[in-house]
Amino acid sequence: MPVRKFRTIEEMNQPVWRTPGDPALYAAIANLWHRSAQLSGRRFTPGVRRFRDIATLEASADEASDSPVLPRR
Amino acid sequence: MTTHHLPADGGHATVRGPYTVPVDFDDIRQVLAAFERDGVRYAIFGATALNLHGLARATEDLDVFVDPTEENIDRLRHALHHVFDDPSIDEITSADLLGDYPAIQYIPPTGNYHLDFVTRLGHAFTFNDLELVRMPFGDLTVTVVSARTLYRMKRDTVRLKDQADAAWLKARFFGEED
Repeated sequence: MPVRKFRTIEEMNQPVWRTPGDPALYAAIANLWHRSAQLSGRRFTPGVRRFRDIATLEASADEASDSPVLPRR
Repeated sequence: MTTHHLPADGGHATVRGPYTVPVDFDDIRQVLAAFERDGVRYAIFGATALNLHGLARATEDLDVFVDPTEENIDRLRHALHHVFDDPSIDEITSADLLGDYPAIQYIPPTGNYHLDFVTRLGHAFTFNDLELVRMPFGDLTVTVVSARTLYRMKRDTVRLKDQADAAWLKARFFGEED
């Protein structure tokens, strides 16, 4: 089905849920992760970091996500 | 020891100079396979859990709740050493995870994603509070927090993306129920 038509933007943006165990789910995950990584090209500094709580860890991760993307070589 | 290798012949795990691409399904699968093989007591939560419950979503990390015992942290380190040739793994200690640092972020040498290990979430969740399910991840079976637990974890956070995830989970699994 190469063309799908929607009456509204909201209808178009509905999440597509798949059933756990369905090979199509894992193919979709692998494809999405691969494509997003290709688009992002982000690199984090390797190593171990300790945090006193998950909120601080998430804030640090979010800050890294907002930082400029390093160019690919 | 099995070491994490990236193919040098192109494809989706090519290394180009100091910058690497990408996180992918196989990277995470290798980590989870090592957890299973070494008997780590863990539970996936966060965006990867959402993926495994049926909603494919991009993520840069694997969130893992770890049963907070010294023996289990030893197993966790052992499993990671099976995947990554990286001495910094030894900095993941039970002294920290059972003490003042219940959240540890490990970024492998490839630097393209991070593994976030937690042993408690504030006063809201400990490992024993989690409702766990065993779910497929490709050809593996892994431990994931249930959709209800995942929803509760995401529902009360301030991050917009977590609130959006919670709304999707609610609509998919619980409807008007809370």
